[in-house]
Amino acid sequence: VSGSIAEQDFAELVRSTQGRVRAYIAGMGVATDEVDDLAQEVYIALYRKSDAVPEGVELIRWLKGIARHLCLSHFRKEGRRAKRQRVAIARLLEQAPDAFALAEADAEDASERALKGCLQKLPAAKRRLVELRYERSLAIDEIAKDFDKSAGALRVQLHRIRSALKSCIVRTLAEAT
Amino acid sequence: VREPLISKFVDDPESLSEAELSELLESLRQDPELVAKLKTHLELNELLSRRGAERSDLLAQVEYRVQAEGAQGAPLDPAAIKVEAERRSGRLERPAVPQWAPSLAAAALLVVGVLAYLLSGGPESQLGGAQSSAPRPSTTPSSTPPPSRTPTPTPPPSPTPTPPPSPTPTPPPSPTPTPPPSPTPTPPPSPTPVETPTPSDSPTPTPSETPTPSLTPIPGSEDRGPRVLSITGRVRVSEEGAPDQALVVGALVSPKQTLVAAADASATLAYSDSTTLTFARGAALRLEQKPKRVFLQDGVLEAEVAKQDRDMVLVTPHAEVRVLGTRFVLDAQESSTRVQVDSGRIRFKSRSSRRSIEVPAGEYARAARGARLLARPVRAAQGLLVLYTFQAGQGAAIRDRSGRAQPLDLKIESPQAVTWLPRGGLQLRSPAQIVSERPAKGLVEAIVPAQALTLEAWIRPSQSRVPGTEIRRVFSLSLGYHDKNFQFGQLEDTFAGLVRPNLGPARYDLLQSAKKSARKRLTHVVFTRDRSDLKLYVDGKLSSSKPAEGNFNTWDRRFFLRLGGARPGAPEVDSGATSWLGTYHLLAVYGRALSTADVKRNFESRF
Repeated sequence: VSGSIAEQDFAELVRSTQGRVRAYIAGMGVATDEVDDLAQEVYIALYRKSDAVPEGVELIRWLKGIARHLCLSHFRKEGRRAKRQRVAIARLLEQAPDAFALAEADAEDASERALKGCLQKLPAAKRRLVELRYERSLAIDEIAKDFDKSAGALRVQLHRIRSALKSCIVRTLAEAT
Repeated sequence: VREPLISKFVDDPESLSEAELSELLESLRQDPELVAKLKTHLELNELLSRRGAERSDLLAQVEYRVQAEGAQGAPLDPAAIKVEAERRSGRLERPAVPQWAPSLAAAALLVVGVLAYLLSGGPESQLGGAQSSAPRPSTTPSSTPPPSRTPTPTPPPSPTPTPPPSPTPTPPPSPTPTPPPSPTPTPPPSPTPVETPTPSDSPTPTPSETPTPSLTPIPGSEDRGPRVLSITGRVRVSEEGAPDQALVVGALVSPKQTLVAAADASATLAYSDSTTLTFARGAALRLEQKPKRVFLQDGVLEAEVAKQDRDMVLVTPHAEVRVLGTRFVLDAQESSTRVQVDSGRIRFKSRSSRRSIEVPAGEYARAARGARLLARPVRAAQGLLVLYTFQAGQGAAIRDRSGRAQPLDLKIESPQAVTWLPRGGLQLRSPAQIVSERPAKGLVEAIVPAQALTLEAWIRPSQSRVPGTEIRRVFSLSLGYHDKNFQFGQLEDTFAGLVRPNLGPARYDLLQSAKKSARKRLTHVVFTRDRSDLKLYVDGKLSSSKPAEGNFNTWDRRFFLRLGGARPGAPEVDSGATSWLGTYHLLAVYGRALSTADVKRNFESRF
């Protein structure tokens, strides 16, 4: 792989792998706000050390290896609270299987399409909650004021919505294959 | 018990207390299914978050980082750096070559080596064209003799094109930077002695003394190539196997010659069909075998191409431009080439990806390895008062690139606190004092009558949230921290714009962007104020607004434009606590409120 990276379009490499890299970082327990920052570091490392990708190693595996290292360093950073617990949780999470087994960029696109369809099937109030939290990026506390509920209750509601969406996505992907 | 804890962790892992994290960890250790469930929610959370408008373009951020911080590859050979620095009159330095692949680094070194050889001289050379056979007095290497023909009123094109700031997308240098020297022999001396410039013993003329002859078609010269129409400053001509000499007005440029303008120089070449090429600011240019095929190794070239029967082709290490007739500016930099089209339309091809796009009038594009080839709109220019693009790479001066008659340059008074990034950008690592060289009277005189302004910044904060309740100053028009006409900065996790209306002492009109809009990433922020509203835009989108109060009639003309915060212990501020830290890529002030369309255009234009 390393020998051919220089000849490939770096932009295309980022485009075709970023979804899986982001999912991997998030799956290690990194806060959503910080997933982007760490994903940037992964691709900067690829850019600077493309010749360090061993021959015969699948690029996405190499990227995930870098991401793993960065995530653990991130949790161990100076001043971070509960470092030991965060690292231990990350190590448990990395052993668990990926939610959607996204092996290829095509599968990545398929899961995004499936998610879009599944969101359409949600009742209007739940869709509104998802929109406020994820598309408009409002904090739970702010949404809680609008919905006249506690932040904790809204988090649990979002948790159940995600569970329903997961089942729907898995079903949709299975039907597609 | 587990569901609230898991949902809280998924929503924001940082919000859990140490005891809660320990409890969650214990639960996870006992139940592998719970681990899988948590992972599913975390990944789905990420998938859903990608739908958000706040999500950044990862590729653009990576391109930015590589551009701003350099690729940190193996350092270039010091001798090669010296040669390159000298070639650019000591004003520009070559950034380190990225270690994209050893072969690319080797290719870059080879290019510099070839360039060093070309510029270091060798056997005596001749200037091309008509005068090339005439011996040149060695005592006047830089003289620019006047041509003997009668000048006509035809004005030359602007000799110093000033292209807008360069976003410089990124990556490593092209693997094929320098085409081989042309085998075409130097054309014979011109049969028209009237065109031959007369060598002069006069000292090197100043730019204003340089004559600018008219463009008169030369019979039989169509196939030979362009002549030198005008020169400002020092432009050298080098040819393999010959020592460097000064380029002279009226010279016929031949394919074997490389023309190199000093950092503050420019020259215009004119073809017999009225096509003109003006190159400037350290540009190195060579005609290839065909007269209408030009290789720009480095620097800025402004082209005004008359209608052609066949494409005229301009090549750089990264790109190829094909044109049938138009006006555009080509800027070949270390790692990328930028083209801006003023009229007509060109076809712009990246030499690394082999992709090509059409770039219409009013847009620009940049070719660089690994970067997307996109045509982007040119920035809004109307009402621009000052513009800083932080491209100097070194020194204590930040030049105003607005193009206005009286530029307002800035001076870095604490150079130890800042770092020039190798490919553009100025990083404030600790509180630094950066102040305009004189009071920004011109800003006040433009903004007060208009009762409107725009403050624009492309910045990267070093912190997503800054502590305290004071605005961390990105820039301001002020005397000290407490006396200001306007200020723009970061307040907690928001951006904040502030102006002083005529409503009494210490009364300021403040507007903050949406919460969490200040992030540790490259961000475009625009604050506008007109007679009716204050608005703040983040990354091209309106983030907040409120009605305006009062007017600017009490603004003080003695205030300075200031960046960052004061040094600790500075007399006008109690400490450096108000300093914003991060990286500057572009700052601009307009004497009008940019419209939403203008803001979107400047965002899409990047920098």
